[in-house]
Amino acid sequence: MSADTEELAASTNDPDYAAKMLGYDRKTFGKILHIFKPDNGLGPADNVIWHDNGDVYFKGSYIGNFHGWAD
Amino acid sequence: MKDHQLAHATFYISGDSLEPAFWSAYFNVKPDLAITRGQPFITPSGRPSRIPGRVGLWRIGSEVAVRSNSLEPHLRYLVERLGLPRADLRQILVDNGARMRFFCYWYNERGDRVPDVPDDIRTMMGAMGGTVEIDEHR
Repeated sequence: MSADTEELAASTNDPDYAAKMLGYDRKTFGKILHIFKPDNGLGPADNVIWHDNGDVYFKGSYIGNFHGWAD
Repeated sequence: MKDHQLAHATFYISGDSLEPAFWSAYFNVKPDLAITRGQPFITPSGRPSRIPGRVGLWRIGSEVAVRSNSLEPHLRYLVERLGLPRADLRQILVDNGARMRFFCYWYNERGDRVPDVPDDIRTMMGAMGGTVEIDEHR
């Protein structure tokens, strides 16, 4: 993915891009993800899609808003 | 945001028919988060969930109470807090179709840290029908 594409992306399944898109440093993002997935019935390996408003989808279904799991 | 610890542990009880109030009474502990499947809940940031809970769960973590980058102090804190082991817990889990685990955050940026789960805790959890799982982040 190019830098231009990254800046324009409104959703991504890449945790590194999602962290930037949602405004978290990578460590903080990982800590949130650590509880977000099990709290929503997902395993660590389940691939989700983040949208730029924080909404997270899994297999096309809305799971929750990522910001809701931040401190 | 709290400073970043390289390790912490969370104790989870989960299941489709899990009743959080039962587990709060059983452990005599207030959970960090409780969700009843199919019911709205309050997310960790204090916001109402937009959709009902996808899974029933009861969890409590060590991160706030323990300052350590190793897992052992986090796990031992939770063992003491929850009064583990408990002789009746394995059967209660079976009767309620519930799953129990320690879910451990492990930050390992350079890939040179080995998670320190004490053998006695892993054995104890196994004897009660639970697991210890490592969620490694880089």
